[in-house]
Amino acid sequence: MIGKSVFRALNGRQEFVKRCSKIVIRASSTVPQMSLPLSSENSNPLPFFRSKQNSPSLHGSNNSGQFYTIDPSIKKQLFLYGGIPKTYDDLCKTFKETCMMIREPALEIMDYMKSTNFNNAATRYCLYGKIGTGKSMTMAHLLHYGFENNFVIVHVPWAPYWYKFPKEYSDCPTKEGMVDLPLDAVAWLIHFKNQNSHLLADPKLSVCQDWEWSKREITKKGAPLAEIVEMGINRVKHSTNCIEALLQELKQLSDLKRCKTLVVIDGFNIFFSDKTKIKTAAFEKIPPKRVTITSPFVDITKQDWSNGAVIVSVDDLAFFRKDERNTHYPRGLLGAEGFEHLDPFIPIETKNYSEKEFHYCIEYFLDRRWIINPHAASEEGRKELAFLSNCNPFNLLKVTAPL
Amino acid sequence: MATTMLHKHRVSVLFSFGRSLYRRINVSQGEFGLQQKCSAYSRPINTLSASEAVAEIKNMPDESRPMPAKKPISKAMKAYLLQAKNYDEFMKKQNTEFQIGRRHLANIMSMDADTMTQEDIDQAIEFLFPSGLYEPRARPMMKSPELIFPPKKAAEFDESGRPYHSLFYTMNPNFYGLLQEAVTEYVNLNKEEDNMIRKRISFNSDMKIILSGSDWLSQEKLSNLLIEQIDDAQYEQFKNVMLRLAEHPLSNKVKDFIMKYRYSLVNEAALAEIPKPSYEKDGRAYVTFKGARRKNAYADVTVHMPGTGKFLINDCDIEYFQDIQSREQITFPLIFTALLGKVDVTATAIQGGTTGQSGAVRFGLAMALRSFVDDKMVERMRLAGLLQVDWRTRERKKPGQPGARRKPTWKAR
Repeated sequence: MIGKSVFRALNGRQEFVKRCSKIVIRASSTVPQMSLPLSSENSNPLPFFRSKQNSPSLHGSNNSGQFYTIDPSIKKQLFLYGGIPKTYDDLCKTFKETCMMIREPALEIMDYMKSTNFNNAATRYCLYGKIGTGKSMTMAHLLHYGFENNFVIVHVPWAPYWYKFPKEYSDCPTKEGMVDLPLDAVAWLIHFKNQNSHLLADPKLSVCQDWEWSKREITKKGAPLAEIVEMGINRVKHSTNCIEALLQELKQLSDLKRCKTLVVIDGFNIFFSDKTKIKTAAFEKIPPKRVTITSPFVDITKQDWSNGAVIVSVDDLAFFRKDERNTHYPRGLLGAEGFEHLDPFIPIETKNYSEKEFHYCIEYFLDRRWIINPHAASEEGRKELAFLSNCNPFNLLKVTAPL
Repeated sequence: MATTMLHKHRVSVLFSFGRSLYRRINVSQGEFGLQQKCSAYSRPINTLSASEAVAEIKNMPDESRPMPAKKPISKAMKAYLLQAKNYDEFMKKQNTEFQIGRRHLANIMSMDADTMTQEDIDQAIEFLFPSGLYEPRARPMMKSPELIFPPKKAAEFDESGRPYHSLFYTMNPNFYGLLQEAVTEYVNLNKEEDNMIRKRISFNSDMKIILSGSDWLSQEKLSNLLIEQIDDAQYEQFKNVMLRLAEHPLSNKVKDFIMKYRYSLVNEAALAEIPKPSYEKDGRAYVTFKGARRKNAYADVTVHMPGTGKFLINDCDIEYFQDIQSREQITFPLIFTALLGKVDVTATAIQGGTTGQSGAVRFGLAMALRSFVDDKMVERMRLAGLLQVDWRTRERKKPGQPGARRKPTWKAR
């Protein structure tokens, strides 16, 4: 039996050891430690750079610049197969939380979407901006918003992956001159299923027409939409056809007000470029329009359906290195064909951090111990960081990495 | 024949004077009288001092008295003295020719001969005789003969062969004389130090010479200065001795002596002229520095003083430079002078690549910022290397090698 005093002593010693180990860890670092708590959950009230609202629907301009946390379960559902840029994802792993800054472009689009008349044709928003200013991050934010508001999400995390790093390509058996990306199509269907699992169970989402895959495989009208998805996942041969069918169905279902669809495509300008790494069986390099997976996604961004929204981003990085067009404007990146397809659209620019946003970002980095150099936290240090990174979010991340 | 020993003056005189003459010499307190016994002469007795008498005796021409024969000058010494004399004459002649030439040149270039400086002469010669040769010393020049002809030592010993310099027999009298002088100074400084300690006067760092910004004369230069060949061991010895002297806590007292043998590392002429800022219509001060160079790049940088930290390069913001190193190069002068958010910078850079252009902008920016900063900061900038043109260029590829340093693959066999 452990006496009270011994128990207290043991506990006390544990506490003492805990405290000692903290001190030891601190002493081993070459830079004087700052006394900020490691985890923000224990601190009340929340620091000024964090938002209390973790729900995008409730975000407003008063939250501008603040960081909000994404629940891990939501992150798993939405972003398991892509959506958060890899560099930022690694950062989230380092920080042990997925936090995102609430910025003006996202707030603007959410504002529009809240006041859109969904009876009209689906509005198209085009996100553009210099590299590293937050196009993909804005899209992730809007995905979360769409998810909360029960949109069916059609999300392509980064379209150029299909054309630059195709998993497997083969000549299309049905359409002449076209090339299939069967495995990529399957991967996308899995992604779709994961994101919309809670909605696919809804009985309202049922197929509007018969779809014949082969002589023996037919999806009848009235079947749940999930069946098409399952068909595509299980039968690799029909995966692209399933995508086509799925997206057409979604358009019709949205028109019929049985669901609302949010289409989010990152790197949309690749669909209108000239090059891919995909070759036909005869080793002929083909442009994206001869790849079967392109057409359904180009189709869904047309304005022939209602009760939804299309958010698209154009990025110079989508092109191959040699073909970079050194512009960040939609007209330059989409080209004549792409621009005519997408026109009319609402262009939304993502910019470098404003002074307030920069300040909040530095505070967040300090909180998360990304910056531990005390000079970096000082007034002059911040000025230097702002100058070096030009307040570009991505550059700031890179510049502060060694600090 | 009479002989007299004049002990006092240690002169022994043995002589016979004339035909049968008798001398009676009286010695009294250094005087002696010369007395002719012959009645034919009735000259009075002359009283001379001893030295005068000795001189008279010496100068007396008399074959019967064998004079100590004059030592003949050796041929070597003759030749040496002749050489020295010839050199002097030669230099004189060259000098007159140079002066005449100067006047002619002034005439040709319609300049005033009296106020013409060596710089004017150099410019005139460059104009009249343009040369495409790379080596400056190979081009035509017209300078004072002292600058052209190597200096020779004047005659080092006199006719009798006695050297003038006490250290002549060391073969390098000037060099060892210099070392001795240094040691003498050192001993004096030690004495002064002892005095100060005795009087309890405190030492401070102002009393010690500051050697930074200058370096010892090279071996060659020292040889030229001392007109003697200095070998490696001697040069090392020189440096050691002088350094020892300079390390003394009171070495500032002998600063002039030490600095004679040091050359300044700083191009003071260029740094002294800090441009004054011009003013825009709205009253903002600005300075433009043109032609800043780094590798193959050129940059013109304009700095406006009451500014907000804007930066424009070729009409783009700092994202014109994509790599962090280039951006840090540009940031450095602004941070060093603590003017980061306080000035606006506009730069144009041409040619070169990323590193070259950013380096050029950095140099131009530093040179422009001098006008907005006090002297102490300018000195600190100089020490930081901001005000020095980075002369490093790409090294030439050599024949027989794949690159500048890379050699063909070495094979054991």
